[in-house]
Amino acid sequence: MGNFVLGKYLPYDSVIHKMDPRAKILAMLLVLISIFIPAGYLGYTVLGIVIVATVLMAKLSLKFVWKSMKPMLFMLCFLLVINVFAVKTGDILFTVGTFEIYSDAVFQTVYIAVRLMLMIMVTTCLTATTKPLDLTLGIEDLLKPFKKVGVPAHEIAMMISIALRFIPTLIEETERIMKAQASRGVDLQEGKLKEKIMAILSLIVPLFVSAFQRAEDLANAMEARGYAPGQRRTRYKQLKLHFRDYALMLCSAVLLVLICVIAFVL
Amino acid sequence: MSIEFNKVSYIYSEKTPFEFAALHEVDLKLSEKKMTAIIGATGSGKSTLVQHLNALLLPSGGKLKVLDFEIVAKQKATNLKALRSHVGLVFQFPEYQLFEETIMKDLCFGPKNFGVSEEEAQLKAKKALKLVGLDDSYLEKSPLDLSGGQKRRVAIAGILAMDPDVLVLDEPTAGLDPQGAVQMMSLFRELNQKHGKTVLVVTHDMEHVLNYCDEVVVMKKGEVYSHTSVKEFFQDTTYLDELHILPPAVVRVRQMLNARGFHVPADCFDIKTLCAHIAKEVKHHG
Repeated sequence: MGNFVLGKYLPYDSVIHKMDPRAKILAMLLVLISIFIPAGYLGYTVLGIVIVATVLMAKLSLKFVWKSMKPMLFMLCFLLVINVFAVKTGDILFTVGTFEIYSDAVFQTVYIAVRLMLMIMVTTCLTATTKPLDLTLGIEDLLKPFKKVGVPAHEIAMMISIALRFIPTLIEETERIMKAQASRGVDLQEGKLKEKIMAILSLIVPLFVSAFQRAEDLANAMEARGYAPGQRRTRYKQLKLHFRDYALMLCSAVLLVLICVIAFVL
Repeated sequence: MSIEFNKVSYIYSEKTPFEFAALHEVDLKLSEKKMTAIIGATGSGKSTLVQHLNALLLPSGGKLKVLDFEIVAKQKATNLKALRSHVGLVFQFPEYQLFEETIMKDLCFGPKNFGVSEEEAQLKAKKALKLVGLDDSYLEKSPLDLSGGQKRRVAIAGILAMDPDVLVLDEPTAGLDPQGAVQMMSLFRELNQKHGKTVLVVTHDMEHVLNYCDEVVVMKKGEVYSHTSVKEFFQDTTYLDELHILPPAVVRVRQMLNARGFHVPADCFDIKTLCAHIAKEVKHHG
Protein backbone atom coordinates (compact mmCIF):
# COMPACT_ATOMS: atom_id res chain seq x y z
CA MET A 1 0.00 0.00 0.00
CA GLY A 2 3.04 2.22 0.46
CA ASN A 3 3.43 2.05 -3.30
CA PHE A 4 0.27 4.00 -3.96
CA VAL A 5 1.56 6.93 -6.02
CA LEU A 6 -1.53 8.57 -7.54
CA GLY A 7 -1.76 12.10 -6.15
CA LYS A 8 1.47 11.93 -4.15
CA TYR A 9 3.53 15.10 -3.69
CA LEU A 10 7.15 14.81 -4.81
CA PRO A 11 9.46 17.40 -3.27
CA TYR A 12 11.70 18.28 -6.23
CA ASP A 13 12.94 21.73 -7.13
CA SER A 14 11.61 22.87 -10.50
CA VAL A 15 9.97 25.90 -12.08
CA ILE A 16 6.62 24.15 -11.94
CA HIS A 17 7.06 23.48 -8.22
CA LYS A 18 7.63 27.16 -7.58
CA MET A 19 4.55 28.35 -9.43
CA ASP A 20 1.49 29.72 -7.68
CA PRO A 21 -1.10 27.01 -6.96
CA ARG A 22 -3.90 29.20 -8.33
CA ALA A 23 -2.13 29.57 -11.65
CA LYS A 24 -1.49 25.84 -11.75
CA ILE A 25 -5.12 24.94 -11.00
CA LEU A 26 -6.43 27.34 -13.65
CA ALA A 27 -3.92 26.11 -16.20
CA MET A 28 -4.87 22.52 -15.41
CA LEU A 29 -8.55 23.31 -15.94
CA LEU A 30 -7.79 24.94 -19.30
CA VAL A 31 -5.72 21.98 -20.43
CA LEU A 32 -8.40 19.55 -19.24
CA ILE A 33 -10.96 21.41 -21.35
CA SER A 34 -8.63 21.21 -24.36
CA ILE A 35 -8.31 17.46 -23.83
CA PHE A 36 -12.08 17.12 -24.07
CA ILE A 37 -12.32 18.95 -27.38
CA PRO A 38 -12.40 16.35 -30.17
CA ALA A 39 -9.42 17.69 -32.11
CA GLY A 40 -8.36 14.59 -34.03
CA TYR A 41 -4.85 13.20 -34.41
CA LEU A 42 -3.13 16.54 -34.87
CA GLY A 43 -4.78 18.06 -31.77
CA TYR A 44 -3.84 15.14 -29.54
CA THR A 45 -0.29 15.08 -30.88
CA VAL A 46 0.11 18.75 -29.97
CA LEU A 47 -1.43 18.20 -26.53
CA GLY A 48 0.69 15.11 -25.94
CA ILE A 49 3.92 16.95 -26.75
CA VAL A 50 3.02 19.90 -24.55
CA ILE A 51 2.00 17.70 -21.61
CA VAL A 52 5.03 15.41 -21.77
CA ALA A 53 7.22 18.54 -21.92
CA THR A 54 5.50 19.85 -18.78
CA VAL A 55 6.04 16.54 -16.99
CA LEU A 56 9.74 16.68 -17.83
CA MET A 57 9.95 20.32 -16.82
CA ALA A 58 8.54 19.39 -13.40
CA LYS A 59 11.47 16.92 -13.11
CA LEU A 60 9.03 14.03 -12.78
CA SER A 61 10.19 10.76 -14.25
CA LEU A 62 7.93 9.21 -16.87
CA LYS A 63 8.21 6.02 -14.82
CA PHE A 64 6.49 7.72 -11.90
CA VAL A 65 3.70 8.98 -14.13
CA TRP A 66 3.32 5.54 -15.65
CA LYS A 67 3.05 4.07 -12.16
CA SER A 68 0.23 6.41 -11.26
CA MET A 69 -1.63 5.30 -14.40
CA LYS A 70 -1.51 1.64 -13.50
CA PRO A 71 -4.78 1.66 -11.51
CA MET A 72 -6.50 2.83 -14.71
CA LEU A 73 -5.42 -0.19 -16.76
CA PHE A 74 -8.20 -2.31 -15.33
CA MET A 75 -10.73 0.38 -16.22
CA LEU A 76 -9.40 0.53 -19.79
CA CYS A 77 -9.79 -3.23 -20.23
CA PHE A 78 -13.33 -2.91 -18.95
CA LEU A 79 -14.03 -0.10 -21.41
CA LEU A 80 -12.63 -2.11 -24.29
CA VAL A 81 -14.98 -4.99 -23.51
CA ILE A 82 -17.99 -2.68 -23.32
CA ASN A 83 -17.05 -0.91 -26.54
CA VAL A 84 -16.57 -4.20 -28.36
CA PHE A 85 -20.14 -5.13 -27.48
CA ALA A 86 -21.76 -1.73 -27.88
CA VAL A 87 -20.16 -0.09 -30.91
CA LYS A 88 -21.35 -1.53 -34.22
CA THR A 89 -20.13 1.03 -36.77
CA GLY A 90 -17.10 1.25 -39.03
CA ASP A 91 -15.43 -1.64 -40.84
CA ILE A 92 -15.38 -5.16 -39.53
CA LEU A 93 -11.86 -5.71 -38.28
CA PHE A 94 -12.13 -9.41 -37.54
CA THR A 95 -14.66 -11.95 -36.39
CA VAL A 96 -14.45 -14.25 -33.43
CA GLY A 97 -16.77 -17.15 -34.27
CA THR A 98 -19.94 -15.35 -35.28
CA PHE A 99 -19.11 -12.24 -33.28
CA GLU A 100 -17.93 -9.24 -35.25
CA ILE A 101 -15.54 -6.66 -33.90
CA TYR A 102 -15.75 -3.26 -35.59
CA SER A 103 -12.94 -0.79 -36.14
CA ASP A 104 -14.82 2.02 -34.37
CA ALA A 105 -14.92 -0.02 -31.16
CA VAL A 106 -11.15 -0.24 -31.06
CA PHE A 107 -10.78 3.34 -32.25
CA GLN A 108 -13.10 4.65 -29.52
CA THR A 109 -11.25 2.75 -26.83
CA VAL A 110 -7.90 4.08 -27.98
CA TYR A 111 -9.43 7.54 -28.04
CA ILE A 112 -10.65 7.26 -24.45
CA ALA A 113 -7.35 5.72 -23.40
CA VAL A 114 -5.38 8.62 -24.84
CA ARG A 115 -7.67 11.13 -23.14
CA LEU A 116 -7.41 9.34 -19.81
CA MET A 117 -3.65 9.14 -20.04
CA LEU A 118 -3.35 12.83 -20.84
CA MET A 119 -5.73 13.72 -18.03
CA ILE A 120 -3.79 11.68 -15.50
CA MET A 121 -0.54 13.24 -16.66
CA VAL A 122 -1.92 16.75 -16.27
CA THR A 123 -3.41 16.12 -12.85
CA THR A 124 -0.24 14.35 -11.72
CA CYS A 125 1.68 17.45 -12.81
CA LEU A 126 -0.46 19.44 -10.42
CA THR A 127 -0.57 17.11 -7.41
CA ALA A 128 3.07 16.00 -7.61
CA THR A 129 4.37 19.56 -7.72
CA THR A 130 2.04 21.27 -5.25
CA LYS A 131 1.95 20.63 -1.52
CA PRO A 132 -1.56 19.57 -0.45
CA LEU A 133 -1.80 22.63 1.79
CA ASP A 134 -0.90 25.01 -1.03
CA LEU A 135 -3.39 23.25 -3.22
CA THR A 136 -6.22 23.91 -0.78
CA LEU A 137 -5.12 27.51 -0.35
CA GLY A 138 -5.35 27.86 -4.11
CA ILE A 139 -8.78 26.25 -4.26
CA GLU A 140 -10.02 28.52 -1.49
CA ASP A 141 -8.82 31.63 -3.29
CA LEU A 142 -10.27 30.54 -6.60
CA LEU A 143 -13.65 29.82 -5.00
CA LYS A 144 -13.74 33.23 -3.29
CA PRO A 145 -15.65 35.01 -6.07
CA PHE A 146 -18.42 32.42 -5.70
CA LYS A 147 -18.84 33.24 -2.02
CA LYS A 148 -21.41 35.88 -2.97
CA VAL A 149 -23.69 33.21 -4.38
CA GLY A 150 -23.38 31.14 -1.22
CA VAL A 151 -20.47 28.80 -1.97
CA PRO A 152 -18.73 28.06 1.36
CA ALA A 153 -15.24 28.47 -0.08
CA HIS A 154 -13.33 28.31 3.17
CA GLU A 155 -15.24 25.29 4.46
CA ILE A 156 -14.73 23.38 1.24
CA ALA A 157 -11.00 24.12 1.34
CA MET A 158 -10.78 23.08 4.98
CA MET A 159 -12.60 19.83 4.26
CA ILE A 160 -10.29 19.04 1.36
CA SER A 161 -7.16 19.77 3.37
CA ILE A 162 -8.34 17.62 6.28
CA ALA A 163 -9.22 14.77 3.93
CA LEU A 164 -5.80 14.99 2.24
CA ARG A 165 -4.05 15.17 5.58
CA PHE A 166 -5.67 11.96 6.79
CA ILE A 167 -5.14 9.73 3.75
CA PRO A 168 -1.62 8.63 4.80
CA THR A 169 -2.73 8.31 8.41
CA LEU A 170 -5.58 6.00 7.46
CA ILE A 171 -3.32 3.91 5.23
CA GLU A 172 -0.90 3.53 8.11
CA GLU A 173 -3.73 2.63 10.45
CA THR A 174 -5.04 0.01 8.01
CA GLU A 175 -1.63 -1.61 7.82
CA ARG A 176 -1.37 -1.65 11.59
CA ILE A 177 -4.76 -3.26 12.10
CA MET A 178 -4.07 -5.77 9.33
CA LYS A 179 -0.91 -6.80 11.11
CA ALA A 180 -2.59 -6.98 14.50
CA GLN A 181 -5.33 -9.21 13.13
CA ALA A 182 -2.84 -11.29 11.15
CA SER A 183 -1.12 -12.14 14.41
CA ARG A 184 -4.54 -13.31 15.65
CA GLY A 185 -4.65 -15.76 12.77
CA VAL A 186 -6.53 -13.74 10.15
CA ASP A 187 -5.55 -14.67 6.64
CA LEU A 188 -6.70 -12.12 4.08
CA GLN A 189 -5.44 -14.12 1.13
CA GLU A 190 -6.75 -17.60 1.72
CA GLY A 191 -9.76 -19.18 3.34
CA LYS A 192 -13.40 -19.80 2.59
CA LEU A 193 -15.84 -17.02 1.76
CA LYS A 194 -17.20 -16.89 5.30
CA GLU A 195 -13.69 -16.61 6.72
CA LYS A 196 -12.85 -13.91 4.21
CA ILE A 197 -15.89 -11.85 5.18
CA MET A 198 -14.89 -12.24 8.82
CA ALA A 199 -11.35 -11.15 7.96
CA ILE A 200 -12.55 -8.01 6.19
CA LEU A 201 -14.94 -7.26 9.06
CA SER A 202 -12.09 -7.53 11.55
CA LEU A 203 -10.32 -4.85 9.53
CA ILE A 204 -13.19 -2.50 8.75
CA VAL A 205 -14.80 -2.26 12.19
CA PRO A 206 -11.65 -1.10 14.01
CA LEU A 207 -10.82 1.22 11.12
CA PHE A 208 -14.21 2.91 11.35
CA VAL A 209 -14.04 3.12 15.13
CA SER A 210 -10.66 4.81 15.02
CA ALA A 211 -11.60 7.09 12.12
CA PHE A 212 -14.64 8.37 14.02
CA GLN A 213 -12.56 8.72 17.16
CA ARG A 214 -9.99 10.73 15.24
CA ALA A 215 -12.67 12.93 13.68
CA GLU A 216 -14.12 13.69 17.08
CA ASP A 217 -10.71 14.41 18.61
CA LEU A 218 -9.81 16.69 15.72
CA ALA A 219 -13.11 18.58 15.95
CA ASN A 220 -12.61 19.08 19.68
CA ALA A 221 -9.02 20.18 19.22
CA MET A 222 -10.08 22.69 16.58
CA GLU A 223 -12.86 24.06 18.73
CA ALA A 224 -10.58 24.28 21.74
CA ARG A 225 -8.31 26.50 19.69
CA GLY A 226 -11.21 28.76 18.81
CA TYR A 227 -11.93 27.60 15.28
CA ALA A 228 -15.22 28.89 13.93
CA PRO A 229 -15.93 28.36 10.22
CA GLY A 230 -17.60 31.68 9.48
CA GLN A 231 -14.97 33.91 10.99
CA ARG A 232 -12.54 36.09 9.10
CA ARG A 233 -9.12 34.53 9.22
CA THR A 234 -5.73 35.88 8.34
CA ARG A 235 -3.09 33.73 6.73
CA TYR A 236 0.55 33.17 7.39
CA LYS A 237 1.24 32.24 3.80
CA GLN A 238 0.24 34.91 1.27
CA LEU A 239 -0.05 33.81 -2.33
CA LYS A 240 1.42 36.15 -4.90
CA LEU A 241 1.32 35.87 -8.67
CA HIS A 242 4.63 36.29 -10.46
CA PHE A 243 5.52 36.69 -14.11
CA ARG A 244 5.95 32.92 -14.53
CA ASP A 245 2.39 32.36 -13.24
CA TYR A 246 0.89 34.76 -15.77
CA ALA A 247 3.02 33.12 -18.44
CA LEU A 248 1.69 29.67 -17.49
CA MET A 249 -1.93 30.83 -17.62
CA LEU A 250 -1.37 32.61 -20.92
CA CYS A 251 0.29 29.56 -22.45
CA SER A 252 -2.53 27.26 -21.43
CA ALA A 253 -5.11 29.72 -22.77
CA VAL A 254 -3.22 29.86 -26.07
CA LEU A 255 -3.13 26.08 -26.12
CA LEU A 256 -6.91 25.94 -25.65
CA VAL A 257 -7.46 28.40 -28.49
CA LEU A 258 -5.05 26.47 -30.69
CA ILE A 259 -6.88 23.20 -30.04
CA CYS A 260 -10.21 24.93 -30.78
CA VAL A 261 -8.84 26.18 -34.06
CA ILE A 262 -7.56 22.71 -34.99
CA ALA A 263 -10.89 21.15 -34.06
CA PHE A 264 -13.39 23.57 -35.53
CA VAL A 265 -11.62 25.57 -38.21
CA LEU A 266 -9.22 23.15 -39.90
CA MET B 1 13.32 -24.74 20.41
CA SER B 2 14.66 -21.22 20.65
CA ILE B 3 14.69 -17.88 18.91
CA GLU B 4 17.70 -17.08 16.82
CA PHE B 5 18.36 -14.12 14.53
CA ASN B 6 21.17 -14.74 12.09
CA LYS B 7 22.36 -11.58 10.29
CA VAL B 8 18.78 -10.42 9.85
CA SER B 9 18.31 -7.17 7.94
CA TYR B 10 15.09 -5.41 7.18
CA ILE B 11 14.52 -2.59 4.70
CA TYR B 12 11.22 -0.70 4.50
CA SER B 13 9.92 0.25 1.00
CA GLU B 14 12.87 -1.43 -0.65
CA LYS B 15 13.87 -0.05 -4.06
CA THR B 16 11.80 3.15 -3.81
CA PRO B 17 12.89 6.72 -3.00
CA PHE B 18 11.50 6.15 0.51
CA GLU B 19 13.80 3.18 1.22
CA PHE B 20 14.76 2.90 4.88
CA ALA B 21 16.93 0.25 6.51
CA ALA B 22 15.51 -0.50 9.96
CA LEU B 23 17.66 -3.51 10.89
CA HIS B 24 21.32 -4.13 9.99
CA GLU B 25 22.49 -7.75 10.16
CA VAL B 26 21.08 -8.42 13.59
CA ASP B 27 22.52 -11.43 15.42
CA LEU B 28 20.56 -12.36 18.50
CA LYS B 29 19.84 -15.51 20.44
CA LEU B 30 17.03 -15.27 22.95
CA SER B 31 16.86 -17.67 25.83
CA GLU B 32 13.78 -19.77 26.23
CA LYS B 33 11.41 -19.43 29.17
CA LYS B 34 13.05 -16.19 30.18
CA MET B 35 11.54 -12.75 30.34
CA THR B 36 13.56 -10.42 28.14
CA ALA B 37 13.25 -6.66 27.87
CA ILE B 38 14.02 -4.92 24.60
CA ILE B 39 14.98 -1.29 25.08
CA GLY B 40 16.34 1.48 22.88
CA ALA B 41 15.51 4.96 21.63
CA THR B 42 12.57 5.50 19.30
CA GLY B 43 13.49 4.48 15.78
CA SER B 44 16.14 2.04 16.95
CA GLY B 45 14.33 -0.91 15.37
CA LYS B 46 12.62 -2.48 18.39
CA SER B 47 9.19 -2.78 16.81
CA THR B 48 10.66 -3.97 13.52
CA LEU B 49 12.61 -6.63 15.39
CA VAL B 50 9.64 -8.02 17.28
CA GLN B 51 7.42 -8.09 14.21
CA HIS B 52 9.80 -10.65 12.72
CA LEU B 53 9.01 -13.05 15.50
CA ASN B 54 5.68 -14.04 14.07
CA ALA B 55 6.54 -13.34 10.47
CA LEU B 56 4.51 -10.17 10.06
CA LEU B 57 7.67 -8.81 8.54
CA LEU B 58 9.89 -11.15 6.58
CA PRO B 59 13.62 -10.44 6.65
CA SER B 60 15.20 -8.67 3.65
CA GLY B 61 18.45 -10.45 4.42
CA GLY B 62 19.73 -13.21 6.70
CA LYS B 63 17.71 -15.91 8.39
CA LEU B 64 15.74 -16.39 11.51
CA LYS B 65 14.70 -19.38 13.58
CA VAL B 66 11.66 -19.18 15.80
CA LEU B 67 10.84 -22.40 17.70
CA ASP B 68 10.77 -25.08 14.99
CA PHE B 69 10.20 -22.63 12.18
CA GLU B 70 12.90 -21.30 9.94
CA ILE B 71 12.50 -18.17 7.85
CA VAL B 72 15.15 -17.39 5.28
CA ALA B 73 15.26 -14.11 3.35
CA LYS B 74 14.05 -14.28 -0.27
CA GLN B 75 12.59 -17.74 0.18
CA LYS B 76 8.87 -18.26 0.25
CA ALA B 77 7.92 -18.81 3.85
CA THR B 78 5.39 -21.51 4.53
CA ASN B 79 3.24 -22.39 7.46
CA LEU B 80 3.12 -18.84 8.80
CA LYS B 81 -0.24 -19.46 10.40
CA ALA B 82 1.17 -22.29 12.49
CA LEU B 83 4.01 -20.04 13.60
CA ARG B 84 1.57 -17.31 14.56
CA SER B 85 -0.39 -19.70 16.76
CA HIS B 86 2.79 -20.30 18.78
CA VAL B 87 3.94 -16.69 18.96
CA GLY B 88 1.43 -14.17 20.29
CA LEU B 89 2.22 -10.57 19.44
CA VAL B 90 0.55 -7.72 21.29
CA PHE B 91 0.96 -4.45 19.41
CA GLN B 92 1.28 -0.97 20.82
CA PHE B 93 -2.17 0.27 21.81
CA PRO B 94 -3.76 -3.10 20.99
CA GLU B 95 -7.24 -1.86 21.91
CA TYR B 96 -7.65 -0.89 18.25
CA GLN B 97 -7.91 -4.53 17.25
CA LEU B 98 -11.21 -5.14 19.11
CA PHE B 99 -14.12 -5.46 16.73
CA GLU B 100 -16.69 -8.07 17.78
CA GLU B 101 -20.08 -7.34 19.36
CA THR B 102 -19.23 -9.03 22.65
CA ILE B 103 -16.02 -9.54 24.54
CA MET B 104 -16.61 -13.29 24.49
CA LYS B 105 -16.73 -13.33 20.70
CA ASP B 106 -13.66 -11.15 20.43
CA LEU B 107 -11.66 -13.37 22.75
CA CYS B 108 -12.73 -16.47 20.81
CA PHE B 109 -11.73 -14.89 17.49
CA GLY B 110 -8.01 -15.73 17.77
CA PRO B 111 -8.32 -19.34 18.96
CA LYS B 112 -11.02 -20.09 16.39
CA ASN B 113 -8.85 -18.75 13.57
CA PHE B 114 -6.29 -21.31 14.61
CA GLY B 115 -8.80 -24.12 14.38
CA VAL B 116 -9.89 -24.53 18.02
CA SER B 117 -13.48 -25.72 18.53
CA GLU B 118 -16.17 -23.31 19.75
CA GLU B 119 -16.45 -24.79 23.28
CA GLU B 120 -12.72 -24.95 23.80
CA ALA B 121 -12.34 -21.38 22.54
CA GLN B 122 -14.93 -20.20 25.04
CA LEU B 123 -13.11 -21.98 27.84
CA LYS B 124 -9.85 -20.37 26.82
CA ALA B 125 -11.56 -16.99 26.56
CA LYS B 126 -12.89 -17.21 30.11
CA LYS B 127 -9.50 -18.27 31.41
CA ALA B 128 -7.73 -15.42 29.62
CA LEU B 129 -10.22 -12.84 30.87
CA LYS B 130 -9.67 -14.02 34.44
CA LEU B 131 -5.90 -13.76 33.95
CA VAL B 132 -6.11 -10.08 33.05
CA GLY B 133 -8.25 -9.41 36.11
CA LEU B 134 -11.75 -9.03 34.68
CA ASP B 135 -14.64 -11.23 35.85
CA ASP B 136 -17.20 -13.20 33.82
CA SER B 137 -19.78 -10.40 33.98
CA TYR B 138 -17.83 -8.68 31.19
CA LEU B 139 -18.23 -11.55 28.73
CA GLU B 140 -21.46 -10.32 27.17
CA LYS B 141 -20.54 -6.62 27.09
CA SER B 142 -19.42 -4.84 23.96
CA PRO B 143 -15.65 -4.29 23.96
CA LEU B 144 -16.22 -0.81 22.56
CA ASP B 145 -18.08 0.33 25.69
CA LEU B 146 -15.16 -0.24 28.05
CA SER B 147 -12.73 2.30 29.45
CA GLY B 148 -9.28 2.62 27.89
CA GLY B 149 -7.53 0.48 30.51
CA GLN B 150 -10.17 -2.25 30.32
CA LYS B 151 -9.98 -2.31 26.53
CA ARG B 152 -6.23 -2.84 26.81
CA ARG B 153 -6.80 -5.79 29.14
CA VAL B 154 -9.38 -7.36 26.84
CA ALA B 155 -7.08 -6.92 23.83
CA ILE B 156 -4.22 -8.60 25.69
CA ALA B 157 -6.61 -11.34 26.82
CA GLY B 158 -7.45 -11.85 23.14
CA ILE B 159 -3.84 -12.87 22.55
CA LEU B 160 -3.54 -14.88 25.77
CA ALA B 161 -6.62 -16.88 24.73
CA MET B 162 -4.56 -18.24 21.83
CA ASP B 163 -2.29 -19.77 24.48
CA PRO B 164 0.99 -18.99 22.65
CA ASP B 165 4.34 -20.40 23.81
CA VAL B 166 6.07 -17.11 23.14
CA LEU B 167 4.43 -13.86 24.16
CA VAL B 168 5.73 -10.66 22.59
CA LEU B 169 4.51 -7.31 23.90
CA ASP B 170 5.25 -3.98 22.26
CA GLU B 171 5.03 -1.34 24.98
CA PRO B 172 2.12 -3.01 26.77
CA THR B 173 1.92 -0.43 29.55
CA ALA B 174 2.10 2.77 27.47
CA GLY B 175 -0.74 5.05 28.51
CA LEU B 176 -1.85 2.92 31.49
CA ASP B 177 -2.05 4.33 35.01
CA PRO B 178 0.91 3.29 37.25
CA GLN B 179 -1.17 0.76 39.15
CA GLY B 180 -2.53 -0.80 35.98
CA ALA B 181 0.99 -0.93 34.56
CA VAL B 182 2.29 -2.79 37.64
CA GLN B 183 -0.62 -5.27 37.42
CA MET B 184 0.09 -5.93 33.76
CA MET B 185 3.80 -6.46 34.29
CA SER B 186 3.14 -8.81 37.24
CA LEU B 187 0.78 -10.77 35.02
CA PHE B 188 3.44 -11.21 32.35
CA ARG B 189 5.98 -12.24 34.99
CA GLU B 190 3.50 -14.79 36.33
CA LEU B 191 2.86 -16.18 32.84
CA ASN B 192 6.61 -16.50 32.46
CA GLN B 193 7.34 -18.15 35.81
CA LYS B 194 4.22 -20.26 36.43
CA HIS B 195 3.23 -21.17 32.89
CA GLY B 196 6.74 -21.37 31.47
CA LYS B 197 6.15 -18.92 28.63
CA THR B 198 8.93 -17.06 26.90
CA VAL B 199 8.10 -13.38 27.27
CA LEU B 200 9.56 -10.46 25.34
CA VAL B 201 8.67 -6.93 26.33
CA VAL B 202 9.51 -3.76 24.49
CA THR B 203 9.57 -1.02 27.09
CA HIS B 204 10.94 2.38 28.03
CA ASP B 205 10.42 1.91 31.76
CA MET B 206 13.67 0.94 33.51
CA GLU B 207 11.81 0.14 36.75
CA HIS B 208 9.91 -2.54 34.84
CA VAL B 209 13.12 -3.88 33.36
CA LEU B 210 14.73 -4.13 36.80
CA ASN B 211 11.75 -5.55 38.64
CA TYR B 212 10.31 -8.03 36.17
CA CYS B 213 12.83 -9.09 33.56
CA ASP B 214 15.72 -11.55 33.41
CA GLU B 215 17.61 -10.21 30.42
CA VAL B 216 17.97 -6.95 28.50
CA VAL B 217 18.56 -6.40 24.82
CA VAL B 218 19.61 -2.87 23.90
CA MET B 219 18.87 -1.78 20.35
CA LYS B 220 20.70 1.14 18.76
CA LYS B 221 20.33 2.35 15.18
CA GLY B 222 19.02 -0.97 13.91
CA GLU B 223 21.65 -3.08 15.63
CA VAL B 224 21.79 -5.07 18.84
CA TYR B 225 24.06 -2.97 21.01
CA SER B 226 24.19 -5.32 23.96
CA HIS B 227 22.47 -8.37 25.38
CA THR B 228 23.07 -9.02 29.07
CA SER B 229 21.33 -10.13 32.21
CA VAL B 230 19.41 -7.42 34.05
CA LYS B 231 21.76 -7.52 37.06
CA GLU B 232 24.85 -7.07 34.93
CA PHE B 233 23.14 -4.33 33.00
CA PHE B 234 22.37 -2.12 36.00
CA GLN B 235 25.73 -2.64 37.74
CA ASP B 236 27.78 -0.48 35.43
CA THR B 237 26.22 2.96 35.56
CA THR B 238 28.80 4.63 33.31
CA TYR B 239 27.58 2.32 30.58
CA LEU B 240 23.99 3.45 31.21
CA ASP B 241 25.05 7.10 30.98
CA GLU B 242 26.65 6.35 27.65
CA LEU B 243 23.31 5.06 26.39
CA HIS B 244 21.44 8.05 27.87
CA ILE B 245 19.37 5.75 30.02
CA LEU B 246 18.12 7.06 33.34
CA PRO B 247 18.64 4.12 35.72
CA PRO B 248 15.88 2.96 38.12
CA ALA B 249 15.47 4.81 41.42
CA VAL B 250 17.28 2.20 43.53
CA VAL B 251 20.31 2.27 41.28
CA ARG B 252 20.29 6.09 41.28
CA VAL B 253 20.19 6.23 45.07
CA ARG B 254 23.07 3.75 45.23
CA GLN B 255 25.01 5.84 42.78
CA MET B 256 24.48 9.05 44.76
CA LEU B 257 25.33 7.39 48.09
CA ASN B 258 28.56 5.98 46.70
CA ALA B 259 29.47 9.36 45.24
CA ARG B 260 29.19 10.79 48.75
CA GLY B 261 31.38 8.18 50.42
CA PHE B 262 29.16 5.15 51.02
CA HIS B 263 30.19 1.69 49.92
CA VAL B 264 26.99 0.08 48.73
CA PRO B 265 27.83 -2.97 46.58
CA ALA B 266 26.83 -2.87 42.92
CA ASP B 267 24.60 -5.95 43.14
CA CYS B 268 22.07 -4.30 45.41
CA PHE B 269 18.83 -3.99 43.46
CA ASP B 270 15.96 -3.59 45.91
CA ILE B 271 15.01 -1.09 48.52
CA LYS B 272 15.26 -3.53 51.45
CA THR B 273 18.88 -4.53 50.85
CA LEU B 274 19.74 -0.93 50.13
CA CYS B 275 18.28 0.18 53.47
CA ALA B 276 20.12 -2.62 55.26
CA HIS B 277 23.40 -1.48 53.74
CA ILE B 278 22.79 2.13 54.69
CA ALA B 279 21.88 1.16 58.27
CA LYS B 280 24.99 -0.99 58.57
CA GLU B 281 27.31 1.76 57.40
CA VAL B 282 25.67 4.45 59.50
CA LYS B 283 25.98 2.20 62.59
CA HIS B 284 29.58 1.43 61.74
CA HIS B 285 30.46 5.11 61.68
CA GLY B 286 28.19 6.12 64.55
